[in-house]
Amino acid sequence: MLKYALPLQKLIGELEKLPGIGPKSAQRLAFFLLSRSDDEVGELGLAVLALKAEIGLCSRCHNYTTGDLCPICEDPGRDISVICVVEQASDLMALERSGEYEGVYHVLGGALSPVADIKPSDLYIAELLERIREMRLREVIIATSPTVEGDATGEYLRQLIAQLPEPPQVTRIALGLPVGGDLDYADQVTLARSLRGRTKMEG
Amino acid sequence: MLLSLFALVCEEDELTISELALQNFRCYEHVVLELPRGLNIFVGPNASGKTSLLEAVLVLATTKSPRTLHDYELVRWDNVWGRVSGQFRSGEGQAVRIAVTLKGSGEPVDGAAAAPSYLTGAKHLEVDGQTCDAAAQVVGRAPAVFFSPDGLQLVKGAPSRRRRFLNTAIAQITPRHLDDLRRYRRALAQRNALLKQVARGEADGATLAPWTSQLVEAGARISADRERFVGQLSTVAADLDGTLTGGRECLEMRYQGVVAGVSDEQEREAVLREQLDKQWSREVQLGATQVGPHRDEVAVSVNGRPLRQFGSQGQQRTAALAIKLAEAQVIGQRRGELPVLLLDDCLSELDPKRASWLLELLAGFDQVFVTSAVATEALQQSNWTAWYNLAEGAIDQERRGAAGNESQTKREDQRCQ
Repeated sequence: MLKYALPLQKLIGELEKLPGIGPKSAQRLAFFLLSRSDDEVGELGLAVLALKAEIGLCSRCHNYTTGDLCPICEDPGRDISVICVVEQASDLMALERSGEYEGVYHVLGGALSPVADIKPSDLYIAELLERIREMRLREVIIATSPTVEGDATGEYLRQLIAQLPEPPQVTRIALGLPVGGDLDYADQVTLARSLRGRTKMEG
Repeated sequence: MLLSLFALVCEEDELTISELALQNFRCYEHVVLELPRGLNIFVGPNASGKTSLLEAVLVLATTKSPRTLHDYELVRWDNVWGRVSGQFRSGEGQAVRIAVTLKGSGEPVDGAAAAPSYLTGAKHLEVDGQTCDAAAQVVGRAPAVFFSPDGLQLVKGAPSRRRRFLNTAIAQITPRHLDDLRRYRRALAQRNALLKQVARGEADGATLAPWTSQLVEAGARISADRERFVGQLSTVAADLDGTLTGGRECLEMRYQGVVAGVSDEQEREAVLREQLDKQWSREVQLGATQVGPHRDEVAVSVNGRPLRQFGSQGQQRTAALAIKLAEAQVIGQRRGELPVLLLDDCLSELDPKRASWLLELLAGFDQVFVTSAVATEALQQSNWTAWYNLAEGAIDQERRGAAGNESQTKREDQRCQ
């Protein structure tokens, strides 16, 4: 059987590891790159290399950054008495886009999962507790995903924070209905959960 | 008594499937059937594709087959994909179209039978043309209840068989139940993995608490739903079984779970948590969670004796039929519309008296599909609205109006190989 040249085989193999890319897409991408000019392909290569060389984790919140601190931790206008805890940096970006939040973040780097062998020590949990102790916080907002893993991670954090001296208030982001959606079109699972998590109306 | 049971649901809405379309499904290459309300009878020799039609309706109702756990088996042999879709109507004329597309075992050959682009996984669900990400968005739209001779396993089989029965039935009443089950299974898998790590000294036992919380939260809701459903089911099933056996037998069903008999939701959680805490050292030893809904059982007894061990084959058969008919009625009571009833080859096992009694009972449903290898007298004399003869790759449909005097015959252009 005819085989691709080794460099081509290697590239296809690497591309296949990317999310959403199967063997066929990987081949198409590899042949596309092969057909482009040296400059163009070089640009892509340099961009990929620069990604890991220049981007690191914020020493405070573990968001992605090119410096020591991320732009949010460097911003003097943020309220540092509130920390919002998220699983991934992409979750942080989603919350930032809402424009609603003035506090700072803490990226855990994932959620607990004994099945996938992700233990508390694999996440930035000790660092979070250290920050809470140092900063005399008002509130910690748990914004992990509403999955079993995300909920369990949130519950684990709540228990740890409660054991600290002078613990801050711990809150969980609400689960509920999509805005602008009619009640009768919301799926029943979402409706059931938002009923369970209903809040008291203050007036 | 039977009549009074139906009175509870009769005045409510009705639900029927008006069109069923199969493509590369089981033995069918392509078939579209128009289905009237009332009693639909399918008669044909073995392996003529009767059961597959009923199975297709259940796949639309529950996204799953009652006959196999492997979805690819539903796709016609050697095909890349298959599809079943159905148009359901309520009495008020509201329609909903459900479609399930499945990946088959066949390999795509150049160009010819490539799967549609939306079929990215093993199964694609659609309601009114909109893709659904979760089964919970489909299940409960158009409920159906399926019963075949294999339904005997419901009383004879292992407890897991009865738990599966509860899961499907309750999900069709409360789709939220599917989400609870999914979360429970997930929490259980995580907790068990952690128990094993604790046993090996790789993890701290204190990290178990958040997983226990997740397990308890979903578990308490599951057990509450199950207990309520079994309670309602038991009453109706006992009446039906009494009629089937001429009042000689007293069928009883009891939910047996670790939190049975507790009505308050928070107390349920507390009881389950307490039971889990008690088992703690044993759980670490065994590396598995020892109590909870995954160990639930439904005790079925006749005249006070456990049916599974001490019932005759005949008693088990009538009890299983009574329980399935009761399931349909309880779903009907809770939803305000009766499910489509699918009875696969059930009449052959009943004596003529019980067979005609059953056919009379079926008149209380909005739409019933019955299959049989033989056109028995009881079937011919029943008040059917459509009669289908399946033979040699064709389906002949004969229809008649409610009065039973006008009838028309129509041949479906389809192939079953």
